[in-house]
Amino acid sequence: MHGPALRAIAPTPFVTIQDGGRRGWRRFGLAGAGAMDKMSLAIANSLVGNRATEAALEFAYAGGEWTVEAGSCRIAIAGAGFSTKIDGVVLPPLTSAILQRGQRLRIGSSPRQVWGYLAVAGGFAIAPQFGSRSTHVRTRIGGLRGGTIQAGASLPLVAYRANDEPERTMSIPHEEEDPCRVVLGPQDDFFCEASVSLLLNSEYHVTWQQDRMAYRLDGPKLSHSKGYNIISDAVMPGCIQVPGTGTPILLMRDAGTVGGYPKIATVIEADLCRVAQMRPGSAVKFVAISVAEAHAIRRRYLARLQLIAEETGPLPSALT
Amino acid sequence: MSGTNELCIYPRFAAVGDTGLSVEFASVIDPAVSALVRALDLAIAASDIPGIVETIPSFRTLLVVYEPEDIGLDTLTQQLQHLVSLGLNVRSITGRSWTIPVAYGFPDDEDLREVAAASKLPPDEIVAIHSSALYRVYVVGFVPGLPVLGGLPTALHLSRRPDPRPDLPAGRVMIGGMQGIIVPMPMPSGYYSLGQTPVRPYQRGAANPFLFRPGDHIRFQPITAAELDLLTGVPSDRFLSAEDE
Repeated sequence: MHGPALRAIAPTPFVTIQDGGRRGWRRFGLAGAGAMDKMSLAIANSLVGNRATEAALEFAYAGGEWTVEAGSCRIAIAGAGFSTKIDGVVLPPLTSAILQRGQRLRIGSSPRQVWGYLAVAGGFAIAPQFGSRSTHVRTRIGGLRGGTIQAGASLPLVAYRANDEPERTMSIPHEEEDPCRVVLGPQDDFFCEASVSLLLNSEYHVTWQQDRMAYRLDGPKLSHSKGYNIISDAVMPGCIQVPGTGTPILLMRDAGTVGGYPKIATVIEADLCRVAQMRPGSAVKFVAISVAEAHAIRRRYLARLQLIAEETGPLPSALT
Repeated sequence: MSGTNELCIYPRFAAVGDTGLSVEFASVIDPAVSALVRALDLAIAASDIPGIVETIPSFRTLLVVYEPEDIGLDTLTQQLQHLVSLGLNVRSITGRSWTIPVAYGFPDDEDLREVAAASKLPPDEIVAIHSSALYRVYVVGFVPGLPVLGGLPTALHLSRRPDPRPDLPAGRVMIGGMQGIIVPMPMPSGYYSLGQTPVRPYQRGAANPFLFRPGDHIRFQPITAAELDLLTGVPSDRFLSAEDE
């Protein structure tokens, strides 16, 4: 017997199930994983009436083709600029829609961003592992059998049919272009002052070496003042670690829990989503702030996440 | 820096972004330092400090992940300082003890011979040295469930292999640098493989699939390939030889 499902017809290579991530297991070496862009995850979810951190499909660069094996399913896509069509009809950005049995959803590429999210109303009927449905591919934990979604895969849905509420939409959020804010440390004392100032006053570029574990940045090389081996300690997403080459590596959601390179600075949570969305070649500038400033920014960021649900509204009738 | 100054600057608190606080007890790897990390970890668990999301112990630091909406950095730092000032009770913390059987030289003794060549010791002697030491789990991490072991006798301190082995199975007992590990799930490693244990540090599907905790003690016991075969599939917690006090 088959329950309702979303079927992967032609998924792109890096599609995984992600939610708000897991907490409490890092002490055993299990990374938190979770959506690379939690803001976009929240937007996609709120458009279909889910809570902000419900599990959705995360894809990189483009989403591929999908159908529904259920009566119908309400979907929404977030992440800026992903061209989306249902049976060839263009779906307006940040707007929910109903995918009927037999219809084909095609999510193309975005010229601006890396990570996109496909949320389904009601979510996926997939058991959480360690308190989360997020996939950590390297350790085969979470998501659909711990892996990326392959062609032909069937993702069980909670809802068999979309309810008859109106479709929802929201205005496209303003894309901030401010520098990326960091708190210096925890090992900025492993670098000479000139290197700290180089990090803060230069332009770095996101490279093609970007994935859910880490982004390698291209730019001025940083030099260590006390060597580049520290006694390994715990790392977090957002840590900028600098190996012997002097080229910074920004750790992302799937990064290991412990590392042995000095961490010159750490990107604050509110800006990590933004850097995660930068395509290869994009320039990123860093600015150092105090922890107190970081906490004030965090308060606004969390309030913004809260507000998203209120910002989505019924689709104006002219568009339906 | 003099020893006295060293004492004055520790524990050292360092922010890790907007949600992390690293408490550093020393700049060396030492069982006494590891015991302090563990003692603070346990003291936090027993405390009612609000806003702590999780803690991640490593060799000489404890990373405290917190929610700034629930506790400010200054308050958190003060509360942790207070726990430290009450005196971290290191003596009462013994950790659990494990006796881990190892079929040395299994499935082949290629790495064992490389270690023999590098250390100028015969393979039998390497096995005798490795299985006579008492190891401490300093960190569980890098890969889920992987115990990083301190206490490797200096005779076996070797630089890592020049090229990592790509695909090591769970249960490999390995050494590299000053450390030992037991492979929890298939992974690449630049360490030398001394043998194979039936013990699985990571048990997929279990409610708490992680066998080891920081602070645990481990001894290795040589077994034959036939005994390895007999012990394969035996629940790994059978190899626990002593619980926490």
